[in-house]
Order: sequence, then C-alpha cells, then structure tokens
Amino acid sequence: MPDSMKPRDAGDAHEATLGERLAARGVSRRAFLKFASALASMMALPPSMGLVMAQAMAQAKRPSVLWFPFQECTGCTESITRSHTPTIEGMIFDMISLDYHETLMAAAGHQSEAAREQAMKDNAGKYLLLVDGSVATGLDGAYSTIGGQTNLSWLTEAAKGAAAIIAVGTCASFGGIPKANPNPTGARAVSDVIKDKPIVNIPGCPPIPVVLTGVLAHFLTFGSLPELDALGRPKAFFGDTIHDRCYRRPFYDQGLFAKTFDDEGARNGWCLYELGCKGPVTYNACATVKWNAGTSFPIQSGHGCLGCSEPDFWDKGSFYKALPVGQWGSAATLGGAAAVGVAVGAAAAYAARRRQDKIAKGD
Amino acid sequence: MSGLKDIAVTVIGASADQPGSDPSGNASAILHEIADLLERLASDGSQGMIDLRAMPLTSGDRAQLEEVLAAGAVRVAIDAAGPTEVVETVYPGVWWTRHHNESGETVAEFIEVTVCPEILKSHIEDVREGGAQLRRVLVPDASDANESDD
Repeated sequence: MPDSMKPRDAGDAHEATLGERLAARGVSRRAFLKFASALASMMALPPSMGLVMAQAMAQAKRPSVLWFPFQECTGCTESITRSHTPTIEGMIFDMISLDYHETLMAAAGHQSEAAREQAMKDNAGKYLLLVDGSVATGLDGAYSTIGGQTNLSWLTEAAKGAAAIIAVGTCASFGGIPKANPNPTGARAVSDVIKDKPIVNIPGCPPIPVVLTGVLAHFLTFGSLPELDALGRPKAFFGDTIHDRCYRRPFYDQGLFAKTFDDEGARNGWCLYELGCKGPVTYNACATVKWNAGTSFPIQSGHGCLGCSEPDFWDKGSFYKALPVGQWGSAATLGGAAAVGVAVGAAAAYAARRRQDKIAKGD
Repeated sequence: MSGLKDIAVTVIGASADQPGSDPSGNASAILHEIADLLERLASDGSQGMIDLRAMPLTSGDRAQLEEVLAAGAVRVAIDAAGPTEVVETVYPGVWWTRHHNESGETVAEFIEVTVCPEILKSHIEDVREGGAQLRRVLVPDASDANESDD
C-alpha cells in the first residue's frame, strides 16, 4: 500500500510538513522553489509568488483527500496519474494524503469503504472531496451505485464534512457525456446537487493535470480556493480561450484558413476555424500547458478544438462545422474573446469580427 | 497518387515570411519594462520579475529578446528536478532563468531583475542540514571505533 493510502493515524507521520516530507525524499528546497515558480507561472500569478508559495507550502500539512468516482470513464484519473514525477503535476501526490481512491487504493470491498468512512470521520470539516464523473439522479440515483449505495447518497453525505469540493473533469463539472441528450440516467453536475459548499470545477475531457495541482497548491498556500469564473473554474487556467493563446492565431488574424484537412492551408498550418475549431469559445489552458509532457495539443496536431471543457459540448452540433452564431454565443462575443488575447489593434479585431460573421452566415 | 515527397509541407515559423515569425511588439514592451525595473533596482534595490510564458511571443519576438539580452559574464547550471540555467545578460542585474524538467521540457522562463536570483541562493534550512551533516562526517567515525572494538 503506498504511503498516501495508509489510514491516517493521529499525530505521527501526518504532522510532518510538506517541506520535511519532500526533503526526506531527497527533493531539495531549491527544487521545490523551482516547482513553485513554475506553478505560479502556470497559474498566471505574479512571478514573485513562486517564492511565497514555496515558503508557505513547505510549512503546510497535507490535507486529507477523498476521491469519488461516479459516472465516469476513469480518463480523469488516467490523466492525473500519467503525469510522472518529477514533473510539476506529478508533485500532486506529495501534496495530499489520498485517503480514498477506488482505482488507486490497494484495499477493496468492505475494507475500502471502511477506509472512506474512517477518513470522513477523522477529518470531518477539513477534507477535500474530489469527484470525477457525473451524478446519476434518475430513479433516486439508482443508475449508478457503489457497494449498494447510490452516488447521489455518497455525494450528499460526504459533502457535509468537506471543506471544499473539486469537480474533476467535464462530467463532474457540467454533466459531460453522461448528460448528453437524451440523458437517460438523469446525469447532473456536482454543483447541481450540492449548493452549500465551495465547489471548484476543473472541466476537460480529460482535465489538464496541472490545474488540479495548482488548485491544491493555492489551497495549501493561501488556505483558500483560487479565484473562479462564473462557471466555477479557476480563472488562472480558464481565463483565456484556446483561441486567445493559440499559436495559429496569427493566421486567423490574417484571414488564412484551412478549408479542408488536406488542402494547402492545412499543410501550411493555417487556422482551423472554418473546419469547426471551437477554440474561440473554449476556455482552457491546452494551448499553453499542452499535453503529453508538453508535446502538443489537438490544434497543433492538425485538428480543431472540440470544446470539451465547455458545458454541453457534446450537444452543440458538429465538431466539423464552423461556429454558428447563437449556439455558442454571438459573433460579437466571439470577437470580444478574440480581442482579449494577443495584442492586436482595434482594426484587426474589427476585421476578425466581420470575418467571423461572414463565416457564420456561410458567405 | 503522388508520393509523400510531392506533398509540400511547410513548417510554421521556419521561414522569415511566415506570419508567426514577425515581431508582435511584445518584445519591445518587455525590454522597456526591464529598463524601468533596472532603474528601480539601482535606486531603491527593489527586485522585479517578468514571466516570459505569460504572454504570446512570436519567434521574431524571441529573436529580438535574445539579440538585445545577449549572455553576459555569468552562466550557471543548476541540477534540481531537471536542469535550470541562469544567465546574466550583458546588462548587469538582468538575469534570464530557464527551468526545464527532466524530460527537457521548459516549465518556466523568467527575466529577473535582481542582484542575485533567488534560486542561486542556498536555503537556510538546507544550510542547517548540510552543516549538521558535515559535523557528522567530521566526528571520529563511530563505525571505525566499532570495528576496532571487534
């Protein structure tokens, strides 16, 4: 059983600070400062916050974390656990005491349920509750059960003692694919069920691992959750659209678009807007953080963004049709989003809006 | 069907006439900010830091930054959770720090305006532990004593 899965004993090892734990594992404070600096950079905090975060986190105790899997595919867990140490996001498992996670824990059956109940009791009011997957609410939650209990009852019971809830992935954040029409299980987001606890949504199918690390680091550093947008997403990672930070953005600004996946424009790496890219209306950090150890992200691989971190992305029409006006917002809001990112002149932004209107109208 | 070699593939940013390689103006803005930060450092000692990943930089922007902020007298290699290189530019007090992970991926990149970047300094806790370790090394070796007893 990994150390992080051991039942918590009062006192002893859990009293060690994060800094002491890392030092014991041979992670120098210089390495930790580097980790914190990189994290502060990714969270768009002032660069000087790296030092502040390093100092605060080194003194922090690891919080108890319970991770509940509901209507999910385990892709979120795959995303988080495929981050190998010593990458930044890999540090997440040093930062928490993961007291319940079905996929990762050695215990099974009644033992695992006993561990969950014990952790909830020992850390009442203090633990972080992580949820991946949507919550089945149809037939009183009977569509999805664990150990004979519904996900719905687990969530409502565990939420009572949670300091905060983190919805990991689009399904927990917004209902995701289980909620897609016709939504046979009555799938709902965590925030549709729980109304009296702070909830952070980290959408994405799957979510970007370092976002979870960043939220936890913020919690450890400041004792609070990071600033959230209207959809409960951390602004540090969801403040810009994919389009705002896309390396293909200069082509968009110049009106250079791929018209098919094998034309000259596609070969030249031009903007994929007309091929259905949802980058202009999708808030996420893929274009900057990227995937697979920073190798690439969908647009870099030649495919438009699907908008997987946005609510109801599955039911918003074809992935291969240019953004229609109305369904994802008006061309004015698209243009507004477009104007935020790269420093382009007002004339260029106006031209971009006109272009988007024309494309949306099929001109 | 044409062969693969007949398909014209253009690597973005590879040639100077690609849109992504034109300076966007961001490099000039950064350089002016550095000049301001240097004046502050000289007048009251206040430090400054610019996160180069916090704004979009074209390859032209990077070329401009690297040309102006050429390497100066100090270049430091740090091995901590992957390599980090810290270079003082030709402008004393302006340091270019690049953090990489063990895969070589750049995880953070800063311009620091300071007399000495924080990452170069020894942490007092590490100093304390290192000092205790050295004392243990200098104490007449307990294991030798044990061996002589045998």
